[in-house]
Amino acid sequence: MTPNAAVRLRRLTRHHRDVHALDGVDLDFHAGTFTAVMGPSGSGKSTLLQCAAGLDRPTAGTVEVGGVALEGLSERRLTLLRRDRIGFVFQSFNLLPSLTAAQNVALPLRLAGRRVSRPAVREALARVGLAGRERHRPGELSGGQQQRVAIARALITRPAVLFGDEPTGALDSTTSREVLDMLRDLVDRESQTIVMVTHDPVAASRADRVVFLTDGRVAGELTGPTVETVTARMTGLETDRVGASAGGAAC
Amino acid sequence: MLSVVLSGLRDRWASFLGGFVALALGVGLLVTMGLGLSATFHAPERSPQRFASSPVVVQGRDRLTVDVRRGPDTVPVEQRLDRPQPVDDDVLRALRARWTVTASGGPDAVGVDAPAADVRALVGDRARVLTGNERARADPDPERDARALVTLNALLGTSGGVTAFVSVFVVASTFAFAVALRRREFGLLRTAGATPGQIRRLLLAEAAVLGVLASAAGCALGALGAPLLARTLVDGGLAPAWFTIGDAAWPFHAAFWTGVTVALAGAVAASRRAGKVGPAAALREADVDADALPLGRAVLGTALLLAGLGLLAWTCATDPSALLKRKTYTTLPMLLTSGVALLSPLLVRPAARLLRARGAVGTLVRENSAAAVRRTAAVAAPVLVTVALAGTLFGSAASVTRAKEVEAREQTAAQYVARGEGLAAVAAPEGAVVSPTGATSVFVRDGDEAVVKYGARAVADPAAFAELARLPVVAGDLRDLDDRSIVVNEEFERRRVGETVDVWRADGSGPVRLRIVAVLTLGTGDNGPYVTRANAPGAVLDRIDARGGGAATVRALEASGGTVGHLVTGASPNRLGMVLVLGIALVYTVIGLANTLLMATSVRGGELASLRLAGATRGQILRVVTGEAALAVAIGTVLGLMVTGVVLGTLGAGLATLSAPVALVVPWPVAGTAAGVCATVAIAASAIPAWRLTR
Repeated sequence: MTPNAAVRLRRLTRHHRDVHALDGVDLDFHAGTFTAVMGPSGSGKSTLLQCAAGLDRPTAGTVEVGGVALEGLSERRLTLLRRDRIGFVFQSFNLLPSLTAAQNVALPLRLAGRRVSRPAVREALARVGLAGRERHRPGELSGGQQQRVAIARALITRPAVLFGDEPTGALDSTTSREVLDMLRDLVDRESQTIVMVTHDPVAASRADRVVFLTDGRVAGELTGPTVETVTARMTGLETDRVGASAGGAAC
Repeated sequence: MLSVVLSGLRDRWASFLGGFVALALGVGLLVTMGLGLSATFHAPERSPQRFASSPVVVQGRDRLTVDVRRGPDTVPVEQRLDRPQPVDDDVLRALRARWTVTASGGPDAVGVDAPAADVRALVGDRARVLTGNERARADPDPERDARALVTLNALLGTSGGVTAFVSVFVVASTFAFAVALRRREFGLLRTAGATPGQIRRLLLAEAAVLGVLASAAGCALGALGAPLLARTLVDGGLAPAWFTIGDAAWPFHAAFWTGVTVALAGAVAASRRAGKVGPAAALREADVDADALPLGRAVLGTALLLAGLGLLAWTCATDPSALLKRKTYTTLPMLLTSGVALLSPLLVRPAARLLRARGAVGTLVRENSAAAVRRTAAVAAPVLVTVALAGTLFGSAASVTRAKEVEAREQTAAQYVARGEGLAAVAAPEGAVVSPTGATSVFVRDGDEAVVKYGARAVADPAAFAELARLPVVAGDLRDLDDRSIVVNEEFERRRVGETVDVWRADGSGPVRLRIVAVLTLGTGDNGPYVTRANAPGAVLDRIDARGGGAATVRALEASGGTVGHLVTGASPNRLGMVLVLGIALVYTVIGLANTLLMATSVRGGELASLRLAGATRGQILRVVTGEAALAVAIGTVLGLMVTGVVLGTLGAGLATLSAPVALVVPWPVAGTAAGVCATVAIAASAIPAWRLTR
């Protein structure tokens, strides 16, 4: 409804065979804000992110990114849009093992057929604190460093939104904090829009807003979250769920 | 993009090496076969020997010319006689009257010292006039070079065909499997913003680079291999001593472009699949292959399977004698084999579930094989191809030979048989029946439009022949054969006892009208017509059947100049040739297997590590991995034997239709060896990477 929504989801539904991963989700992610999406395992939060980022196609409903509807785009158009407007960071980094850090960062631009300037790549790596590591391959970098290469790669095209699917999930708490500081910085200083799925209340508390998901539906949200309020809300959701499914496996 | 391609080649050299070796070897073999084949097209020109000093040679008639109806017109057709006839006496007298005439050897040709044009004018169409190198046609057995090449041509043609078939199959499946293994890499590229088109182009570029390099290497390999092949063929007695490789260019072009095309075609199919995978789906760790049988492959496989089965049934129903021919039994089963191989992913899962092994290792082997359908099928399919080739080629050839042997043995009541060229007539000893026969030919009109040459047998003593022969007579009586009659088989247009046929004799004389006294079944193809020697001018005895008389008969037969013994037909299958054909297929399969398993096992590091963490010993892991390889080879072997069964069954049905003895040979040793080699290589190729991964 607000004019400055970077991502707008309407009646978003996604079925995997007979499992309703998403069941009519309406959400707006505003430009220049940092949103965390939380929910128990199987609540559909990763599916939500992949649909919003155009990596997966919803069964029904619409996705708009920066005012462009993704519905009905060919795989090629969708890829081009993703390449230009959307950055994505995964839990498992997803770097190409055969390419160096600099080559990995430059890959989206090279795939788009654009000229890649060496200083731009060096600057992108410097921005995530990896100056001087251009020639290292992923195997020679620590987990935190690899995730920072992935973030630099996601940002090289100056996307409208940066999506993160548990970006700190594979990192220890210190490295995790460094990466979160960096993401917070990007929002505060460069007005980057970030949407992040996480199960970690500490990570979620760094966002401006936390959206809670259960069984493919929005179950509430918090603005200005703290570790305590997030943890309390999550505990409440999980006990509700266990109670509802009468002790059925939650995972 | 190009640097992405190059870095890809650099990093995955191991998996590309397999494709490279397979393709280069395939192209090399094609070049070798092609060069050999092109060398069989032309026999070397020989300078004339017999009439080397006469500028012109006059040769007697060597073909029969008969007018037949062709549309509204009448046109002459020619059939070659077995050997040239003596030069006409009138012609000879006229030649002698004018020029010096040289006789040498038989009466079939003379040398004339005169201008060719004058001789032609004098002779007209009463004889053939030969000049220059053509005079070599009057040499003894002028066809022997060409005849030697015909067999060789067939052999190299067959091997070339099998090579093309197997190499295309192995290269395409290696490429497809290599692409399937790189699903995750493509997923990564897709999330980094590569479009499906870019993935396709990346794969095609890789395939083009690989295809050009490997094909070029293959051409070099073939240029080296061809002289080696020629020497082997000469040493093995398959080619005449003068056989050498020429300098034809077309085999290089054909093989090079085939190689590049196969590489690209394999990549096109695989790249379409790779491009279709959505980025998120590609990243999901899916080790259970859901869509191992894409629609295109299913349709093509079904079509080939149905075509293979249909053609077999159709040939069996309409032209069963074609089933006994090498051209048929090498090509027809290929359709069936490729159909089953393409559909193998469908059969792998139920087949793997049949394994009733207990314990952790057995369970893992079964479940892994059933889950990784692509991997199991990629191993089983080449094994299937090899076992089916071994089974159908050797099985058909051996069965046909066996059937001919049995038929020949069943067709005589003789105790002794003497064989040889130009046997002398023998007098029957006291109490013995002796029936000498010889080869001849008869020419008969088939409808209005054709004249057919039949290889016939000339009977010297009709009474003795009737007593000793046990031919499959459909109607009539062999004892009625005399100088004015003929015994025909069911292939003849007129085949009722009492009817008459017009027959030209082996020397081109005729037609004479002969009465049909008996009709024989077709059999394996040797139940040719029988005539008496009166209708077989020029026939020489080459076989004497005898019964009774004891040692005296044996002595008499030996005196004829032939070898006396039990009956063995001459045409034994060309074993060396078939070993060559199967050897190629086996080498190829082994490369494909090793390649697939090395690739497939190398990427199982994570899975095997989890197994180790779950408490499996290194030995257990090796047993699981090699067990899976062995199970896949077993599935391929069983499917290959099933194809063999269908083909041999059809051959049996065909033999029965022809009223020939149904004697089928399943080549267990050859099929077993093929399967054994495959199993050994498969186990080694999976154990080595597994050993390294669990270190």
